Amino acid sequence: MNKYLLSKKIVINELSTFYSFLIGLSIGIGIGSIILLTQGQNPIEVFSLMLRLSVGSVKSISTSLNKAIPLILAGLGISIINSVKLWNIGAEGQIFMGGIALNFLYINTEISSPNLMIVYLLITSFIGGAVCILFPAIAKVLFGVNEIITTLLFNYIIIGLTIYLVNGPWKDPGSLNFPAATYVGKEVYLPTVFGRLSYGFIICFLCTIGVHYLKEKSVFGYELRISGGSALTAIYAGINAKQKAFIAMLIGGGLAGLAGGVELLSQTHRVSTGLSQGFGYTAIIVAAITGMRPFGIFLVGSLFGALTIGGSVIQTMGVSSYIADVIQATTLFGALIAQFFFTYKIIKVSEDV
Amino acid sequence: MRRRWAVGLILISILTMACGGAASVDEYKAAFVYVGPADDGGWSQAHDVGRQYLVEQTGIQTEYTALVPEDATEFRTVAEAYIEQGYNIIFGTTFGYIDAMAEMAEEYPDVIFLHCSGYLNNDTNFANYFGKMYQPRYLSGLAAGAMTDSNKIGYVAAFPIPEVIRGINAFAAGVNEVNPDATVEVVWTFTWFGPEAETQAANALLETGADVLAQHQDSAATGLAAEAAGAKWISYNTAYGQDSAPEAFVTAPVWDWGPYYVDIVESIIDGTFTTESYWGGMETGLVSLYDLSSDVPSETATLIAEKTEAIINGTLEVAIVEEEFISNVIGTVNP
Repeated sequence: MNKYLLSKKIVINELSTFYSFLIGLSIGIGIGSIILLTQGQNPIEVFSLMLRLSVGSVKSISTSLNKAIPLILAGLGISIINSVKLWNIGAEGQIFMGGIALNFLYINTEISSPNLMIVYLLITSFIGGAVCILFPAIAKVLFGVNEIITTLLFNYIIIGLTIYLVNGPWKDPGSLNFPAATYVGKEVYLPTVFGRLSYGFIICFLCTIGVHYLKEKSVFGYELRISGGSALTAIYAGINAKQKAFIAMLIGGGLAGLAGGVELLSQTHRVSTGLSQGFGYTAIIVAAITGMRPFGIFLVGSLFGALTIGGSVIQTMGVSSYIADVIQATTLFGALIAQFFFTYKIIKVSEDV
Repeated sequence: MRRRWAVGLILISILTMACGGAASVDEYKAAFVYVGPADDGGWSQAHDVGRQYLVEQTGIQTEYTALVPEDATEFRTVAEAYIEQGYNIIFGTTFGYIDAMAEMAEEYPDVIFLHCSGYLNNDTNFANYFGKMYQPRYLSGLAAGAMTDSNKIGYVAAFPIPEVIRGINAFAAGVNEVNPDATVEVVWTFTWFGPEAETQAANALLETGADVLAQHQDSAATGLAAEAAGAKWISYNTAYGQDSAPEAFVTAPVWDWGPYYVDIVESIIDGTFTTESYWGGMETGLVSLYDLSSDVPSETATLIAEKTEAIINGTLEVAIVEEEFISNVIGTVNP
């Protein structure tokens, strides 16, 4: 009798997440092609249009990368928190809170220097995200309350707060009662690097390097890993595990808040319930399939941005929205399966011995 | 069916021959962008039926994209994909696309942007269009007022914007005319198409004693809730809801976009297009009240028929009130 077991590979190729995403993409395209053929569509035409409109020109590449910015920033935040083996399901709420904090500062401040103001606004959005996770962090370190539940529940609170603000105190008089806050002034829009790519992408890249350094190279990152790994080892090493977890949560929440701030200043230009299109949840997927590695998050997040843009143009070829969703979902599913085989191996165990 | 096609083809060929040197329909491709599914049984489907009519009548090539959120980047991504493929007429059929369409009209002067339910336009390539839906809503209020026993009518409504508020007031004016004791209670859902939120709001109204429900929503969720509770339902947009809630269905103020879409596209082709706001009333057929169910008392049906006639020939003007609710409405315009 032989038994088969799953075993985690000891050495994981750093590029594996990227490859797995490409393999998943191929699986998705394969299955998608079959579905398209059954719908009487030409898969080559559909996928070449997707490619052309998501990465085919400077304009489309910059649109795709803009879409990736909130995913990457929130994903980095999730990855920092995960280095102490905690999960942040609340990035969606933290993104909104980042936008809310930013707008609060904006409407209560006189602007003297727009550039300096942008810096202040983005720092405020970071603080907003951190404040949003403060309560779950305190509940975690003081009472051991499960952070998965508290961070998730905070999403509903913050989205409720957003709905209140855009229907009440912040409602734009010019929008004829449509629930959205007044636009911020053009002087604080994030400038663009090239095409439509906002400076948010530079911020994103710097954060990726920063988070990589913090997690992999710094003493703090080492302490985080020990704290998350074993409570006893942490005590032995003289590390205050609760304090480290607390700080990691605040930084992670702050990065998601920054994602909201960048999105507001570069894309939506105002607070509304459309500030995040589920970025906080997609960021969890991005972080998870890359095994929480910062550069993996950066790469896969960028591909995800392109996939999102590609997905939303499939319909323009006459493919129904339901089929478009299926194609996006199969791609993602393919990537998850490929990632699984890069991370685990199947070993045969003989029971005869 | 085939015969209809043949007749259509002959008509088109006659038309194209008659036009002679003018631009032909082949030079245009029209794209429609919807906020909900194209088969939502309501708002977006009403537009899609209009699109299909447009194709039948003019032979123009069209395409649509459904479920595009009211977000500038989302709309822009889809619209640019169409422009890239040579589409030069873009219909956006929900209020929230307004800013994106205004911006894109400046950026793409060769593309014509047509926005439904908004208030912005420019002098060249960006027009807005809508219908006087408050007229048939007033008529449906007459039916609702006659149908309620509890004197409590519920109204599931999307956003407190002028379009929705004037609809509620017109409806409530109709209610008041036949039943001064009845009140209309409004619950806001903050979504055009959100079956869960719509169901929740409908049930909340039913639980507090409403026995007739009306709606300004895109799905038939309110109707299903009314059907389950044995209440009556005034639908909206289309009459498809009568299949899913046959007992509850009373009537529906409905859209017929087809003829307008044909007119506007033909005006673009023959060069007479202007960006003036279009606001069609019942006399154009764009808006109307669907056939009443047999539950409606015959004297009410007669009254509605008279009022319909009066609106169409212009002797009756339904009041437009959109700053606040009239006195028999319970709720707030500033939630």
